[in-house]
Amino acid sequence: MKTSKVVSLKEAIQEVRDGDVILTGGIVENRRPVAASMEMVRQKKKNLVLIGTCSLSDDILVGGGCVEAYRGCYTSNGAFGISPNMKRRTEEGTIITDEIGHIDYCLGLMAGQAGLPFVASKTDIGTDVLNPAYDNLSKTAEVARDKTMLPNKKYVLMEDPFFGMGTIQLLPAIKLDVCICHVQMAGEEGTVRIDGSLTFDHLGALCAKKVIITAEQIVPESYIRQDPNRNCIPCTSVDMVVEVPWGAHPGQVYNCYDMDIPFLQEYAKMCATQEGFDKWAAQWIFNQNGHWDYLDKLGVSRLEKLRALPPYGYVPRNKGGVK
Amino acid sequence: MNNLFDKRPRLARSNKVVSLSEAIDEIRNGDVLMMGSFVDTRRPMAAAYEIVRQQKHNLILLAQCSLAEDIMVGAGCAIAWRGCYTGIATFGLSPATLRKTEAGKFFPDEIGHLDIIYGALAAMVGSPFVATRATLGSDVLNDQLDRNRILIDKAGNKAMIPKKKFELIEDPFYNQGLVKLLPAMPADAAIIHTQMAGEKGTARISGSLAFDHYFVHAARTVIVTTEQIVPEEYLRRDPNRNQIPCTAVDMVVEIPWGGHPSQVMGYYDTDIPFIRDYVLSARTDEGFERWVGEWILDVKSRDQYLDKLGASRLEGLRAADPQGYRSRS
Repeated sequence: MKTSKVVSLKEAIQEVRDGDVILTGGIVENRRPVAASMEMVRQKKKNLVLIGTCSLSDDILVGGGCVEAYRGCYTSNGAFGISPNMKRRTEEGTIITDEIGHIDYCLGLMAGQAGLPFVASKTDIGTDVLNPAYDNLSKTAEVARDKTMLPNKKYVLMEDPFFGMGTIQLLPAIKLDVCICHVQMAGEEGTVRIDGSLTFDHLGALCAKKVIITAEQIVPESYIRQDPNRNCIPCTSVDMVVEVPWGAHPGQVYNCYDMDIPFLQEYAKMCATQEGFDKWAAQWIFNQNGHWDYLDKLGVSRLEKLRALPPYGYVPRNKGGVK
Repeated sequence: MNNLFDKRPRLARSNKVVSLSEAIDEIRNGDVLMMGSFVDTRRPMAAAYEIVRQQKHNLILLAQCSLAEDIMVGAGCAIAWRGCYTGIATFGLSPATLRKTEAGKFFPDEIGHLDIIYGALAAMVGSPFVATRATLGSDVLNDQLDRNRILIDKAGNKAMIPKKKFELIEDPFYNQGLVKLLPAMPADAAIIHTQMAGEKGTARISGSLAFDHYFVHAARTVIVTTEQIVPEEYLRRDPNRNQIPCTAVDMVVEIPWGGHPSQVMGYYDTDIPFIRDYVLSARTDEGFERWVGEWILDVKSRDQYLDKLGASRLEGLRAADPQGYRSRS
């Protein structure tokens, strides 16, 4: 039996099918699988249903025309403003958006990873998340290749029969065709070690039919299993492992590298128009050898300035007292 | 979300490190109580002994009724239990629980194994209930065995117990048919035993977490007993190795060998003769009284308990690397 799950980025992304319900790991510009997103744009994926947040690695997919519908709670690139491609496509009315609450995202994944069809919550009561005028779930389901991945309805209200909490919302589980996470370290059989915030990767990986891990480093399974309490995703949940150094650039990866701020600023500016995005993509995505050409184009000196410094795990503005 | 799941008013302590008797003083008669980990692994045994010593009563136990719980049941500290497991693994059914249940002096309310996990998960995130298909078609849903009413009667804080044990509805989202609404399982107090904790309450567990990382967020008061209290600063250098945040913890107690006779990975293995002696003794009222006198009531402190066990016995249990337990060869 083949135990190594190591494949190339191209091979891994070929497993993503048009119309898949997909989640990309990390959050905002932190530990995002950007190289994987760029490869999806390169392979011209279509009709993806994006779940969770629409930040860096997701907005690139939107700009690249891979995403037709989005279900989530956050569409911004942190300090760099609202996700530009998402904003433009939404204003044009060329993308379906179905908003849920922040906590809905966590609880939906929690339910999904435990195999529960739904959980009860009070978090959206009184908000426009429950407004039927903004309910685009059925349109979202039309986009999905497999309609059973999305619930029949967005929510149901009922009286709490147990603790007298009054009207509560039944919130359906989140189901995923594919979850792609970028992590600091993975074994060749797929055991994953994350440093810093896990965000929701440990939940998302258990909600998905297919899990792709891109890692800064692939290490021997025997090494990573010496301290199992430090590992966050079991190999049994992982289908493919890809070694992609700097795979989250221009985002940050704790203990590895910090954000590339000028790069993110440029992205935000250029993606105000589709022409701008296309120009940006021609420069950074559509190249001969994919991620390796991307890194060469960035250049070693640029990357080395981003390398994380112990014990901070990021690049402090004041390095060891030297400005 | 609802003050039901809120913490009890925080004890005004700048330092959370307390003695075992001070910590257990905070457990009230009639409390709904979760004891951490499971069966004979990383059990808060010293805390269970102290609960017996302080003669708590009318406690309602959650999750399981195994080694740590059985001693409290035998000593009359616990009146009822909601959970899924009443054995001490290879040592057989929990003897005092079996005896007291048959005598009608103890009231078990059974739920499924998955139910305790989901119930704790729901309480952790503040959800009043979750939906599950686990236990459909089983006697967990049998009206005749439903003792939810007894739990409400016995609980000191009635708000901790749901109005009913479950409800069945059609799944409106994924066409799964009939599903069970399972109420959250909040607790007045949780006590867990860990390998390491900082003085502010951050805790580090090695090996299986069991459900301790849920329990500490499902309980209004949290006591961590630990093999070693280490500087917080040391634990926080590798936060990914810690599982319990200090914000969830009210009190920390250092108790070396605090899980004896259960096993604590990386520290010591199960004391098999000790548990065997307990299980045989606890089959009768007289046997249990004799055992509890010898090992709990006549022993004034945990130090005295350890001295009574003796260094040579304990050293024979000490874990060896790399197994983290005592290998036979």
